[in-house]
Amino acid sequence: MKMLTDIIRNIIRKPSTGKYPYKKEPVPEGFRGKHIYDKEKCIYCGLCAKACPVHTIGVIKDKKFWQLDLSKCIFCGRCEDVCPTKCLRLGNDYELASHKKEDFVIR
Amino acid sequence: MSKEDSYSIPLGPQHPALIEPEYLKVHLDGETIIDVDINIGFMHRGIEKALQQRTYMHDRFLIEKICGICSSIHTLSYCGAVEKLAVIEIPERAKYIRMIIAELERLHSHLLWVGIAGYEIGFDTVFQLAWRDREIVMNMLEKMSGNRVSYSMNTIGGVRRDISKDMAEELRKAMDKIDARLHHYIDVFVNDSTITRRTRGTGILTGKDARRYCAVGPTARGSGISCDIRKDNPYLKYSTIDFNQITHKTLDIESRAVVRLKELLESTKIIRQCLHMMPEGSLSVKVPEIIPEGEVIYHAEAPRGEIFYYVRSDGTDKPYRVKIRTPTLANILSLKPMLKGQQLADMPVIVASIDPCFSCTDRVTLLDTKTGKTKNVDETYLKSLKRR
Repeated sequence: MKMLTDIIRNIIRKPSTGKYPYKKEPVPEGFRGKHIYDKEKCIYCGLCAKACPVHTIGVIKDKKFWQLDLSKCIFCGRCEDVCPTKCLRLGNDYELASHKKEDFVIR
Repeated sequence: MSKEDSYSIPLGPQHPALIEPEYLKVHLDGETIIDVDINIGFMHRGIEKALQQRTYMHDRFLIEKICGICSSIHTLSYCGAVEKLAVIEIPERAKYIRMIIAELERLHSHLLWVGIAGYEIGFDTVFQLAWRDREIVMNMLEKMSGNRVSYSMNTIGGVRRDISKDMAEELRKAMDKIDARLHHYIDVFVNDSTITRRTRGTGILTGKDARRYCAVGPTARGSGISCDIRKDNPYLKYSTIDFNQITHKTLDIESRAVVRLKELLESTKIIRQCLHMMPEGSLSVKVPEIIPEGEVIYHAEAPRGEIFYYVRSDGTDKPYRVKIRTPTLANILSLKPMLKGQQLADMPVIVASIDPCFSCTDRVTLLDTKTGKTKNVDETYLKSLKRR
């Protein structure tokens, strides 16, 4: 009965689980969450669109148009790696559920 | 009693005892299993075909999605194969980082298995506590790579993120914590009567059967067969590392559990040595988009056994063919000798004892239903499927 000590200790042990919806767990540095896009710095080179493995980024250089669909994104961070001006990076936000489709689009 | 006279029940594709959909037809005499028909193919996703339509770099991210648990070993093998094709040597530091991530993955995969084994036995305390300890490894992986499941650390030509000095120190501390818990779990799986009554003597796989059914990894090592790619054909820097290959000879579920747990003590040893031996230097080298013509195989030791990659290039930026053989495909047939003669109630824990991962196992077999003949898929047929 080697687990018995563990079972008895469980009575007085603090819970190991976090109280998630009430208390948000902090994310570590370098977490790959919702994108942070700086429109001012972007040069519309289209490297991120080319690098994206799921083709979720659309860029039109002439119209200065840049768009990312989060519902397709796999958060691999490849766009962040190739961005020459570092105008795009992956932030800390991981609560992305929404009722509206517009919330998934970053422009 | 013959197979025809027996009572047969279907287990799966949707069944609470199995997490992933797979179909096992069990022939019973009373409560005793006399035969099992294994049918796979409910999770086929056409990944090998999809790989042919994407570039090498895009494939790397698709390959990560083959398996949620061993996402790093798949990319390690694929990137290794492509680097072999392009004749590129990756930096030394990248090799060590790849090994650290692969061993951390083995830690979390086997600790997950310990939990599943406890759950299938009906001992939920083991399940909860093993998964609590697994969080130590998961948190470390998240800190190092930025994600809990898809680490995305390996890339063609090296790795994407570095392990800083603080991180290395934190990792060493985490390994000490894990080691203490592992000694406890080994004690539990060997001495706790609640567990040994279910695991001792059930699901016997003899060494002869393991060889006959081509078992790999902990399933084979639990039957006393020495087979570990890290020892037999060292990749990356495994030849410079000092570690032991674990085999156990009691042939039952306990044997496979002990092999997995003792293997983890070796994994923590490997991680400590890697952190010590890791040289300073760059993380990756640039790889051209167009890979020269040729074919290559690469195999590595995944948590569940040998993983095998075959990559063929026709001199373009997309692979001509990527063939993947995952360990569960090799191990699943050994369920047949394990299950014969056992009680039906022991079936979930025996099936779980090979640590099956069905999502990376499923293949297409063309079967003519009228004649019952299987169709061979030849090169011309595959070529006709290929989209240019």
